[in-house]
This record gives sequence, C-alpha cells and structure tokens, in this order.
Amino acid sequence: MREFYSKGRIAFQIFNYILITALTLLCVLPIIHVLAMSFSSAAYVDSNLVSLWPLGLTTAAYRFVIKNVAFWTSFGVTLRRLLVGVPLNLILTILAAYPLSKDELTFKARKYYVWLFLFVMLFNAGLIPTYLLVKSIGLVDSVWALVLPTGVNVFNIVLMMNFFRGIPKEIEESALVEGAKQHTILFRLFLPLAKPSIATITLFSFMQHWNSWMEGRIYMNNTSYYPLQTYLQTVMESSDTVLQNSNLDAIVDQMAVSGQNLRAAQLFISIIPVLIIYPFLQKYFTAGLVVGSVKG
Amino acid sequence: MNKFFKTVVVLLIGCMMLNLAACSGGNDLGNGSSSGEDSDGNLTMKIGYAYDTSFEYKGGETVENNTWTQLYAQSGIDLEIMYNVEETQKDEKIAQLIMSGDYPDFLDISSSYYKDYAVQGVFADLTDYFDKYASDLTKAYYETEYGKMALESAMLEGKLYALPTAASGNDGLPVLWIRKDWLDNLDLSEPTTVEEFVEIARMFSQEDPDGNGQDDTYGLVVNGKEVFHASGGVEGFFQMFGTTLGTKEGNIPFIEVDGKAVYGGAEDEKVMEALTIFNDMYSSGYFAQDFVTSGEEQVFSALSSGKAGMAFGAMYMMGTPWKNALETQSDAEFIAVALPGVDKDSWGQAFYMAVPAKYYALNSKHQDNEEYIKAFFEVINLGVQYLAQPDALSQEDYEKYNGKDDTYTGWQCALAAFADPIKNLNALKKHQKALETGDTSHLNAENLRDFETMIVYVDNKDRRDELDEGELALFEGGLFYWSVWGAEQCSYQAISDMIDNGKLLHSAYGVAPTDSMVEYSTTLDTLAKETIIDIISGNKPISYYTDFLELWNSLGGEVITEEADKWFQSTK
Amino acid sequence: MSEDMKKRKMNSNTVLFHTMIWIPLLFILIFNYYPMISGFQIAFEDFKPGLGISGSEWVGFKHFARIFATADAVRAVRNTLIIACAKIIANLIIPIIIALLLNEIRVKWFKRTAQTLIYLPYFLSWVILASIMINLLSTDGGLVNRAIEALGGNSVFFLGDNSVFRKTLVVSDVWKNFGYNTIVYLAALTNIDPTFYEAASIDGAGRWKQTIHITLPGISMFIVLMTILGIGSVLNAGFDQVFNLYNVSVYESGDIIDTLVYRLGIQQQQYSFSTAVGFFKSVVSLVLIVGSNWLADKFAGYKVF
Repeated sequence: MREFYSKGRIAFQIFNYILITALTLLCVLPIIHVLAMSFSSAAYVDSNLVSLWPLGLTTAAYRFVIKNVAFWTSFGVTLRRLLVGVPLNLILTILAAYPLSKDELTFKARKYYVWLFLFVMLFNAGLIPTYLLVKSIGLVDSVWALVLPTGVNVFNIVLMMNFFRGIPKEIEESALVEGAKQHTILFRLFLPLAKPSIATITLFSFMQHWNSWMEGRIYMNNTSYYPLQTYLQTVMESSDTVLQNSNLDAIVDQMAVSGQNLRAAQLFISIIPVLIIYPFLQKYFTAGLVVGSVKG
Repeated sequence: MNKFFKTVVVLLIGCMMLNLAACSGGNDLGNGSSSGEDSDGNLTMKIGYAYDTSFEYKGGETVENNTWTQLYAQSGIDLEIMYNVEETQKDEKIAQLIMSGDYPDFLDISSSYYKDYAVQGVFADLTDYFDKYASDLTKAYYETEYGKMALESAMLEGKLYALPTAASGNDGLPVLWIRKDWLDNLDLSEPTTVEEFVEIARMFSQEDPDGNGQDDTYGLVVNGKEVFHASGGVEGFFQMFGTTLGTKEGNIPFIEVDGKAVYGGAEDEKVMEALTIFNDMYSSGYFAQDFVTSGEEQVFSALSSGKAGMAFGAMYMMGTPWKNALETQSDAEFIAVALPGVDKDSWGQAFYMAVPAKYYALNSKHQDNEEYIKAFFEVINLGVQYLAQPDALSQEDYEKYNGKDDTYTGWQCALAAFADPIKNLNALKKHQKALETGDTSHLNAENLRDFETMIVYVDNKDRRDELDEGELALFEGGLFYWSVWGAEQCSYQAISDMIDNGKLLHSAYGVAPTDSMVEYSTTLDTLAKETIIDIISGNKPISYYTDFLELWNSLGGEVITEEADKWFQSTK
Repeated sequence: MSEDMKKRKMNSNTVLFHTMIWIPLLFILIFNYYPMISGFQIAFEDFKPGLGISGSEWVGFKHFARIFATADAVRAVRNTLIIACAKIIANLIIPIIIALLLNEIRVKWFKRTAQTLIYLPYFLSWVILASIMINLLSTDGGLVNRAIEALGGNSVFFLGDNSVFRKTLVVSDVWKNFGYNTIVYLAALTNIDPTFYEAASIDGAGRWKQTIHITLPGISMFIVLMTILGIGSVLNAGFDQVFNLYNVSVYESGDIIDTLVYRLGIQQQQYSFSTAVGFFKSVVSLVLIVGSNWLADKFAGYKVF
C-alpha cells in the first residue's frame, strides 16, 4: 500500500500519536495512583496527600494482605470456581450454539429455541426466587452455587452461534456427502475452526467468574466460602464507624485496618492475574469475536 | 476430546440429578427440626455470627472453640452455625434465612427490623416465661432505668418477643471537636455560644491558624454526603439551636414542645435561624464549597491533613483523623467541647435518644418447646452475668469472657452481648482519677485494659518518631482512648458536661416505630436532607423551609407526629 | 443425494440437535424459568420474609403503580433513560473513533502497548474511582478545576451541580470502559479484507474516503449488534457508578431507578417493590430489543438473532 505523504497526512499522524499518548496516560495514571497508595502509609493516604509517588514508603499494606487469611481463602474459592465454571460454560455454550447456528431447513425448531434462550437474557426472576430455588436444591455454601445458576450465558451463545454461521456451508455439505455424522462434523471440523471463538468465550467466561460478586454474597452463608470479589466488596463497602454495644475497643481494632492503603493493595493484587491473562489471550479473542458477527 | 467431553457432560448431569432428588420443601433439610438433642444430653441451638473484617480470634481460639462456646456447652447448649458472614450483611442474611423457612433458633436482630418480624410471627412469645427463666441478674438488668426503656421498646401490645440490649443515649450525643493547637495559636478560647463558634470558624478560615503562611485552612468540615452522620454530620449544628432534623438509626426524631411531641424540626423559627447562619458560613467560605461530596472518608481526610479545624460528630470519631494528623503536623491536638448554645445559658442541647442496638429472640417454631425457651434464657442470663457487670467479676473471669490480648477473644464470641449502658460515662471519672493520682486500683479489668493502652500514648507523646510499627499501633489506640477519656477536654468530658447541665433534648417517642413511621421515614429523611443541603448552599431561600414543613406533613409527617404524641401523652 | 436420504439424514440430525440443546435448556429452565413463577408472585404481593410467598398478601398492581406515582419514581425513570441513552451513544461513538485512530498507528509496539494500557481503568472498582474523582473534581483545589482556572475559566462543580452531573457520569463511564470497547472494534477492523483498501487507493481514494466507504460499512454489522444489545440494558444506567458518585444535591438529575430502589430497600425491606421494578425493566428491555431487532432486519437486512 503506497502512502501519500502529504503535509496533511503528517500533521494528522503527529496529532494522532499525541492524542493516543495522552489517552493512554489518562488510563495509566489512576493505576499508578492506586499503586502509590498501596505502598504508602495509612496516614498519608487517608490525608489525601499521595498522588503518583508513595509517601511514608512502606510495605505494611501488602504484608497485611498476605497475612490476611480471608483474602487468600476467597482467592482460592475463585480459583475453584474458575476451574469448574469456565469449562462448564464453554461446553454448554457449544451445545447450544451449534444446533442454533443451523438454518431453519436443517433444524426446524430452531427459532423457538432461540427465543427461549433470548428471553432469559432479559428477564430475571430476581434474587429472592433464585435464592430459594438454589437453597432448596441444597447448593448453598458450595462451589456449585457459583457455577450452575450462571452456567448458561446467552450472550456467549449468541456470539458462538454467529461464528458457526460464518463457517462456509460447503465445508459441512461436503462432509455430509462423504457420509460423516453430525458429531464428527462438530468435533473434527467446526470446533478446530472455532478455536478463536473458543478462546473468546473462555476469556469472557473467565472475566465474568472473576468479577462477579453477587452470587457469593447471596448463596454463601460463611465468609470462608466467599469468592474474591465478594470478599473485596465487603472490605470496600463504606463501613461507617459505628459504635456497637458501647464497646470502644472494637473501634481501636477497626482503626488498625481502615487505612485506604490497605484497600489499594488488595485491589491491586486482585487485578494482577487478570493483567497477566488479558494481553495473552487478546490475540485469539480479536479474531474470534469478529468473524462471528461480520459474516452475519 | 470426544470422550472427555461426553464424560464430563454425563458427570455434570448426574450431579445435578442427584441434587435435585434431594430437593424437598423449604423447611426440612435433614438435621433441621429434630429434637436437637445429642448423645451427651446437650441441646443443639442453631445460631449465626456476623463480624467485621477486622475481627480476629485470639490465643488459638476458633469460631467453634472459645471460652464462650465452652461456657454454653457447660450449660447444656451446643451450637450449630447456620451463618458466619461479614457484619454489614447480617441483616440480609437473616432475612434470606427467614424467607426460606429455615432460620436460626437464637436470633440477633437489628432494631429497625425487629417489629416487622415480630408481627410476621418470626419470633416466639416470651411474655409468660420471663419470670420463670430470667435470672435475678437479668431481672435486675431490666429494672434499671435503661433496661426498662429497652424492654418497653420490645413490647408489642403487651407481649414480649425479644430481649434487647439496654442502651443509653450517652454514646450517641454529638460534640464539637476543635483543633486546640489552632485555638492556642490564635489566642482563642473554647466557644460556648453560636456567635463565638462562628467567629472561630471565620478565624480558622482566614487567619492562618496553622501558621504556615498559606491560605489552606477552613473552619469547619461538614459531611454533606450523608448529611446525618456520626462523623461530621449536621445534627450537632442544628442541635445548638434546640432543634434536631435527622433520623437516628432510622427513627424520625421527636421532641417535646409545649407539652406535645413534635418533629424535631417543627419549630421553624429556630431552624431558620440555624439555616441562615449555616448559609452565611457557606457563602463566606468557612467550610468547603463542595461539602456535598464529602462523606466520612473526605471528612477524615480534611481533619487528617490539617485542612479543617472543627467538626461536629460522635465522641468516638477522632481516633483515625488525629493519629493520621500527627504524621504531618506533630503539634496536632483535638479537643471536644459541649455544643454551644444561642446564648450563654442555652448550651448543651444535644438530642438524646436511646436506641437498643440488638434484639435477641427465639425462633417461633419453639413456641411450645420449654427446653428451647429455657436454653434461650440461659444464653441471655450468661450474657448478663459475664458482660453487663464488670465490677462484680474476678479478674480471671473478666478476662476469659470479655477478652485478653493474645489469650482470650472475649465478648465478641458471645451470642448475647450485654453491657452496662452507662459504663463509658463511669469510665470517664475512673480514667481521669487514675491519670491524676497514678493509682489504678479502682479500675475494673476492662478499664485497666483501656487505661494501659492509653498510657502507651501518654508516655510516648514526644517520641512518636522512634516507635516501631507494633508500638505505634498501641500508641494510636492509646491516642484514641486519650481523645475520649484522658484529655482534660476529652469528648466524654463534653458529654458529661452536657448531661450535668440538664438541657438535653430528650426524645419524646420511646418505643418501637409504628408501621407508618417505618413506611414514611425514608422519604421524609431524604426530603429533609435535600432541603437542608439546598438551603445551606443557597440553591433555595431560607423561607423555603416553611414549604418543606408543609410538604413534610403532607407526605406522612402529620400522621406519624400524631402517633408519636399519642404515645407521649400516654406516658405522662 | 436423494430426497429420501436427505430427509433421513435430517431426521437423525434433528434428534441430535434436540438432544444437544436440551442440556443447556435444562439449566435455564431450572435456574431461570422456574424461579420466575415465584418472582411473579412476589411482584404482585406485599412480600414479607416471615410470611413467605404463600403467606404474603396479594396486592395486584400496587407496586407497579407506584413506579409511576411517586414524584421520586418518575424522576428516577426519566434520569435512567436519559443517562442510559447518553451512555449507549457515547460508548458507541468514542470507541469506534479511537479504534479508527489506533488503526492508523503504524508503529507496531506503540499500537500494541496503547491497546493493552487503555483497558486498565475497566478493572478499577467504582468505590476507588469515586474517591479519586471526588478529589480530582473538587472545586477546592482539585486538579481539573485548577487547570480550568489556569486557562481562564470558572470552576465547575462536576459532582454537585445538576447541570453537569449527568455529563460527568457519562464521560467517566466512557473513560472507564472505552478501552474494553475499543479493542472489540479494533478486532472488527482487522478483519476487513485488505484488498478493498488496495483497490480503493489505486482508484485514488484518500484515507478519509476509504474510512467512510470501506471501514465503516465493514464493521457496520458489528455496530448494529452492539447497539441492539446496548438498548436491551437501557434501564441499567449503572448503579455502582451513580451510587458512589451521587449525593443529595444531584438527586434531581442523577437519581436512577436502581439507586432509588436501593434507598427504599434499606429501611423497609421493599422486596416486592424492587422485584416489581425489576420486572418492569425487563419488560421494557424485551420490547426494545425485539423492536430494534425487527427494525434492523427491515431496514438493513441484518438479523442478529
């Protein structure tokens, strides 16, 4: 491609680079601020004196987090949740997306099923009925409560469905002519072609399980079963300094752990795994998302 | 991939089917409603715990094994934990369990939910059993002034559905916190009138009280985000004028005016006088222009960084800001004084309302099971015995059940946590005497523990920079106690002064809120907050307040005022 | 293949398809549809935890009526619609523009780095962000206002003035999410057949013309998809963000359905009301999505579902 190096073009390029740099800085600075807070002493952070560089430099916040059993327990819960939840989500997505991607000639009932799934994306029965159901099944306080109710993700199904649709019909037809069964077509042909889509869904599923805190809050009766974000939520929630039972010693205890530097450290640690995985999976995920929708 | 895939799917479905098969109605989940007796003859009680994230067990104790679980076991009660969640989730967790029909035997209910649940039949009726099973100590506890008030608040049409903790309104009285070092720098004395207070606010804003040559301070920090709050809330300001507008633990405040119970903000002349001055202060820049975005975090930050010199708030609010301030301003000193008054004789009109914090109740399914009722009262009795009367306990018993650093976790493990409602007031005199004479023999075990922490601060006041992390933590705890009990002008002294002065605004409504009160209080509270903020920041004229009162009445205020007065008249 | 064979092939396929679909379908039947029954009951009752679903009193449309009756509720619905629509539009336009700009970057490492760094704000929670924003946007020494004043302007009370609060919400929301959204559009861009560009440049079309005639149409299907999905969530104006940033002064422009329901819920256990509100939101979303899907089909020939 031959570029036309006009004055206008060069000006644009300069402007573009500057703009993008500014935007990137705008996004990075807050993270640096949080990082600085995490390495500062509580007094400076609480006094709002820390900007991009730590003051009263200390590792106290990180030492607190590392010692904090509750933090790591919840981290472990989230890991277990990921191990079970992501594959489950992936399997269910494929099971639904593949048949739904067939046209109505091949699969007449398709359109009814599609609306059955879509309806669910919009209509939510609410927390109470879902809780009562999960409780009556006996899933409360188990990893399954974090994984089964959200096992089917309709958004993911729509994405993968569109991706399958994008695979040229000829591939399937020629396979059928050669006498291949549907499940062979799925496993030997479509799935390998769908690697980018699988990576995409995996990433989305990972993000959803990593970030969500609602299920942990509702379905777990014990803090040791809280997943990471539920635990962090309870830490971040504005805990008004309230006097319980006329006992002032409780306030002294609270004082020791109320520094905003601790909050910053916990947040930062909980971001690290995602910061590592995201760029890595990025290259797969871009291709998968696209082909699905562009080819309609 | 094929085989693996199929196996996984089959396994998953299998799990689901199995779980579904175990599904039954809502109530019965195996070990739920059996007689609850196990082999050693102990009764099993289903309970729950809710702790703050900062809470830790000490001395190797655990949630299942600590001095309190042992005490209960000795008394024939084994515990089965149904929930152990973070404190802020206690209410929603209990609500969930109640909804599902399977909830604890022993319940710890917050005051705002008690009445609703009682009406819905969640709790057992204890009226006829109180005399039989409450110990003498417990009965004495409920015969004290505060105990009586608390018990009455738990009565619904003559029936008792829970035993509450007795509370006094002492701890909740707002005081006026001031930077003493700034007063000294400007050669000022503590304010006793509103006029003096405003002048100090002006000087703190304009006369460089921290002497650093920069115009970086202002007089007052106001919590405009929560508006009514223990840290920087506006309650204290309005109470200087003998009025009170904000809800207290969700209750709309009622005071007595001319023999009737009225809304705390009903005297529009007084309120408008307060609003005029507040608005003047805002326009003159005596407090932050963006105060409406300042929540507790921002209030603490302004005090910690030496931006603000005064704040209204609870007696326990200054620990964190003061300890933070010392990092950057080594001379920082906070004192607390009684609320100033419009004139020299009307100071100390803080609003006094005792709201029991917790209501302890028994699951209504045990209504006819005397074993459980007896066990319920046993838990209560033990709580009263070991927590509500520290002076009568031996040092060892005190430590075992109240707590000792590194050995016993203490009172937080108890299911029913009672306390002497005026212990903090009593502690004031004790601590002051001990500081003066150096003699600690009159201190009970709890006082002694607090005193020893306070001494760490007193002894190390001038060598803060030399302390290591561990010592600093104790130092900061000691500083907190010093701010409450130790200093000559500590916050509890201010409270004690206001109590002695006898001008407190007492709440004119003393029992559980009525249905209408519960229904309207949020709307009325929001309305009050919006109005106050609008008038203070000048978005609405002072005269708008009369419109507010009309609106307030029409949105349910009139109805609830009638109900409150009805009760008030009945107590005369 | 003969018609007969085709039919047989199709039948055996159909059986397989039905089997496959029923597995995830079972999940949603159990976890999504079954609870709707109790959900409906709760929305039409005055649900009390102690009385349970069967014991609570039936009140018909009382809660739904309330959504429209109280002045607060009407204000909340209005704010929700305005804020959500603004967010949908902004979250559509900005990321596309940035994606187009990023696409023009030739230096590979610069582009890759920028791509990675701009999604960072997505991971910060609104609790911490609100705290940072309150500080930055303060009229009392906050950086942004200091900059404005240095350039000769007047302080703006971003978080306390009704005339700017919504804009503050939208801008900060775009900032938090644009990295995530941009990458999605960037991906869409990279999939456009490069031969189109070559042909166009041979024909003499400049970069700008190429953008209008090749790039945008190339990703249009995707824009439609994201728009329709966005419309479906138009009644979720962002509780987390608003809750952490709002205050009494800006209820007028910033109080949304979810924050109102939250406030009411604390004191009064307003289970039924919040369930009814949830249903109301869902019905509206359903109508909007079905409607926009139909419109997209009619006018553009795109069928997302």
